[in-house]
Amino acid sequence: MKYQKFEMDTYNIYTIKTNKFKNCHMEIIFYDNAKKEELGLRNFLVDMLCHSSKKYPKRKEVVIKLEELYQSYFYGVSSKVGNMVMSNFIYDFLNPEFVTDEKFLQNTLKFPFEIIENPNVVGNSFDERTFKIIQKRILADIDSLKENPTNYAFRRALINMDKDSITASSVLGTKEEVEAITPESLYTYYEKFYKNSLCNIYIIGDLDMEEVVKIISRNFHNNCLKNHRVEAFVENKTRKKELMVREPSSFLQSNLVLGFNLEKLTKSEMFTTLYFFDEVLCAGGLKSKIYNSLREENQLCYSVSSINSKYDNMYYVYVGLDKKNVPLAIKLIKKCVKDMASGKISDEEMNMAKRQLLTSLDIVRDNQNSLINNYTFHTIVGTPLFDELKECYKKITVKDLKNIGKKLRLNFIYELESSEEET
Amino acid sequence: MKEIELKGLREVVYYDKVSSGMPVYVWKNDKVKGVFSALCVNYGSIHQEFKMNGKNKYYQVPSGIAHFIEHLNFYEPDGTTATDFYAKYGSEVNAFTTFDYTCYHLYSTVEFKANLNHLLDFVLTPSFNKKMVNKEKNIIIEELSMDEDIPETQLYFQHYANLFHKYKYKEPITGKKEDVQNTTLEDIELVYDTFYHPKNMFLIVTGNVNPYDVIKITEENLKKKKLSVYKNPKMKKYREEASVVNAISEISGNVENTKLKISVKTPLSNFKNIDPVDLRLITSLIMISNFGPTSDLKEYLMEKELMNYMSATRSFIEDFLVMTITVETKYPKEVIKELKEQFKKLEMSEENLKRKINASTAAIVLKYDDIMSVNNNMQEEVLTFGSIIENEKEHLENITLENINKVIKKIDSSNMAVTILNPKKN
Repeated sequence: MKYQKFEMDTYNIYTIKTNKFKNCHMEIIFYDNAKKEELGLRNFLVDMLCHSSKKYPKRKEVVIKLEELYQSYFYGVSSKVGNMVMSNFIYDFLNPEFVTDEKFLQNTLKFPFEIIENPNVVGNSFDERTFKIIQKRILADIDSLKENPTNYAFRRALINMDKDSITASSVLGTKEEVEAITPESLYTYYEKFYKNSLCNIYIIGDLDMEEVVKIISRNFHNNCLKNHRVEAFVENKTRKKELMVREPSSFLQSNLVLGFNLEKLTKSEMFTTLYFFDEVLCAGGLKSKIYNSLREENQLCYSVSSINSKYDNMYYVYVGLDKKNVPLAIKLIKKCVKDMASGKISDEEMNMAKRQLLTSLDIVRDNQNSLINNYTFHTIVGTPLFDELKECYKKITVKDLKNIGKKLRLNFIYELESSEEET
Repeated sequence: MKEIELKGLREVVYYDKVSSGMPVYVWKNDKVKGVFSALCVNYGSIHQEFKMNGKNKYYQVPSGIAHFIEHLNFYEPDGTTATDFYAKYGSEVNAFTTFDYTCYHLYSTVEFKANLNHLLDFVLTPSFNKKMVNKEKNIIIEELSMDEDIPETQLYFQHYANLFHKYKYKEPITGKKEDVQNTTLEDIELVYDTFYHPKNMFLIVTGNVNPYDVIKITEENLKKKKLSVYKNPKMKKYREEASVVNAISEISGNVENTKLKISVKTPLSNFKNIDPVDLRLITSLIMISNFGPTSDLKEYLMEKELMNYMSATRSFIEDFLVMTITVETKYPKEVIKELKEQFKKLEMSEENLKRKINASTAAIVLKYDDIMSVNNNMQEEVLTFGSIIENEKEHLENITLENINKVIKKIDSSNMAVTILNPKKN
């Protein structure tokens, strides 16, 4: 695999040349500091831009064009990563080697820029018809957050933790914010977004990358200079005593979320040791401490998950279980975390976690999306590339994990309580 | 060993049947590091009544037992679990159960021989006891409670209950709580002894591996095992009526917007003279053209703000073709009317067909890329056709408008079931 960086005047193109895949994958990423009041606008805009364009005003016309380009896929995703907001325009297309049309690469690479740069705009306003379709869909998406117990428990837990923190804000925005957006205000935001967001393009495939860069530079007209700093990390407030919240629900299972602050982790701890710590504590499947304790030893649940939300300086443990078992689950999770902080970690646990992480690295190196994701955060935030990570994992000791354990401070315990009567 | 050349795709699948009767398929990709192995048992959640050894006596077992065995099989005779073994190599092992089969799968990057040998060992070495059966019941009940909290699951099974009189597809794969509670060690041993035999299984390996090694390892491993005589089980065939159970049914659940499913149920006997591979490709093209993102109907429903989301699928369920549309909407009545009308006027233009065939050809090329999805596709083909399709691209390229219209004419669009999941009233 050959990694290359091409510096353009106002953006960079990062390429990975590899013959591992028949598919080629490109992401055009606009990123910036997250502003709570603009999250809904930004998400709306990404949906709007991917839905249709001046040349292809109806959704079906966009899809027909993608079919003509040998079943290429184009879609947009907005996400919030700590204090950073990212808008990814993702494009998958067939390696030109499998196509007889000599101009395929040129034509296919033109498509995403054609869409992003030529939205269906009348005067200073997005077209009303598409606007309404998207608005309605986003409002339905906001509503349906309540349908999934895991997502809803997380949303409520974070709002209870600190409603003013950017960590608690949904990338979809609130219903009120989305309802207040107009075709005019969205277009005003589009201009601001295009001018102000930092931009990188990532592409992976078995392609002549010099040629790719030439084609992109001909089709992408992003010419606003930007040099402001993007701060990815959020410092969430800590508590002397953990917050305990229980809210009713109509779900059959209770959904429990424990949120921990990560206090003053170094970059190396955050980008490498924390993954190792998580593997031993919860992410390592049936053999991890929490999984083993809750499922294997006490049969309290089917699965238990953790989220390493390093950019928010937070770590979460989540489990769905019978209401009557919630107090015991809390006690067991706390004990597992305490064991980590006091270094009660066996050689077997260390070796298992190390081997699993090394295998995971081999697996993700066989996956296009993971390779691009890793390269993206390496270039934007400075996370290690997969190869560097491998070496880092090999050096981690029990003492390193113990140090992380000491920096975990319980912030909240949230229970979305089952409607079932206790049995 | 047979080399199956996939025509027009520059790909080869290696096939052999080892002496104990297990078919083995291998797709080699030396550009990646990993190997994905799937050991599959032709036994799923719908197989609740069966006979064996050529006798007429039918055995009946509780719903959910295939899934129960999948859980228990991870326990090893020495008190450890398969997960303990694979942790030594950092390999990822897991399993799933569907309506039709149970699959134990493994992603490994080192020591392939030891990894594959152990997959064959733990799946084919039972060590069940009452204590572990009782322990696992609690875990499975938590798993099914988790599933029951997902509204889509509720809609899915209710819809199948409206479509099928006798088929077991209407029952959750995990079984219901009472089924899990009522499952005994004897039930589990009966099913395991009957179905977990190489002759009723198949192995698919994809990734950076030598196909000859895979066959050799499998052959040697199974030769060492004391396998019981194959009981040649036969599943009970249910005579399913052509009609649907309920033309329309409404339920309520934890949803904010109404979700609904509408299906057309057509007996496969209507398509007697059509090649099964062609039928699958043609029905897929019909669904995507009439209800997919390039259809006028979808554009119309979006424009009129009648729906938020809509997807179209078609499945082959035993003796029936089932074409299903799933929609999220605030206007179920209007949407159902439009969908019903579209089912009655299914169509395809020459231009659309040509474009869809080109696009689908690219999709077939891309099917042989990621080792995990290649393996999943191969599993589906082996289950459906009993082998890998050698000439899917040719089949696709030879589809004509005439073939499509022939199929459309045979679809019984009057035989429909609609299931509506409404928000609970507070």
